[in-house]
Amino acid sequence: MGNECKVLIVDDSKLARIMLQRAISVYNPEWSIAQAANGEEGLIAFEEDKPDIILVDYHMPGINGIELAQKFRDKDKTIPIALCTANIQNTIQEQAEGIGISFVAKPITNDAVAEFLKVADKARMEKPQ
Amino acid sequence: MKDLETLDWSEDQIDALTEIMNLGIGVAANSLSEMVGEEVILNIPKIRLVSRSEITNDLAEQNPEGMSYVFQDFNGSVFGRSALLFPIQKSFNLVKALLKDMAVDDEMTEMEQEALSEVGNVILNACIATMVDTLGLEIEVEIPQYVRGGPVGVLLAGDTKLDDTQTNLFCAVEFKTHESGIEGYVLFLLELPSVKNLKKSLEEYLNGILGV
Repeated sequence: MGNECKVLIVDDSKLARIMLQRAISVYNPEWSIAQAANGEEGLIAFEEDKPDIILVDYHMPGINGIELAQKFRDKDKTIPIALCTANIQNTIQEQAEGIGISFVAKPITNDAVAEFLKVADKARMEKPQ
Repeated sequence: MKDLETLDWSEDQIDALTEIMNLGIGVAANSLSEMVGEEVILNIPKIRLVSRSEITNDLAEQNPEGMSYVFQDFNGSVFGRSALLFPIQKSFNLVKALLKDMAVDDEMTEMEQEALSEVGNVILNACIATMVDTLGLEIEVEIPQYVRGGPVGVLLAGDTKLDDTQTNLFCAVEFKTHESGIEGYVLFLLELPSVKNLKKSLEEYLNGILGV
């Protein structure tokens, strides 16, 4: 596993997806990015694109970001996932922590996304093949 | 009720406005959660074009016993009214959640005004501040006003600049808590003439993001 990395963004807001895409490209312009607008599409993208890192919104039509992240976690115990949401309540952050995923508060900033990606990148590089 | 597409709003502009409202409501819900000590469950914001009287009728139908609310007008390039509303039979739940063991039954009505005004101040200002900061708007916010009203009074109380049958841009978010049984709505009503200015600000904001 080298510098190649696929990041999956799941967010119902196109604006949020654009901002996340930009933040990821600033962190590493060589990484590829897949996008999904809801949980259902996210699960399909997970199977098709086989991402290395995932960013999910919380409030989406259908299943919420925690439920979706749990489904991803059930399929892959170690894939780095971040809940990226404006819902910054402690209980939401605790739920994220409870299923072993990171938390990135909106509004999206390049620095906050980079902080998560740095940790996620290190984790995936150390992941047993 | 009409969709924003009828005013030539693009999908991206509607999406951006929904996301900005989400940001504001997220900050506001976090503040409320800290005040009442439990999670505040939010719905996705609903944005539509609707008349003031239509909103009032909808709310009256859903809340036949009436509502207590705080509203706050804002003026500038974008102008309108923000409001925080609670079904009247549930509004004491907020007071009890805020005051906990200090809540005294015979002071509830008096304390409700204090509680709603304080919570309204925090929540409505968080939402307006997010919109102002994100879009670089210049807006003056008026003092919040409390109304323990009947069903018809909602959003028609106080001075209104326009006919209540005129179409406005309306954004609503429902919220609730499980433990203390708090239920309410955050509403934003933008007068139609200012919707054009909001659209322009969103265009500029999106152009900045997309590097146009």
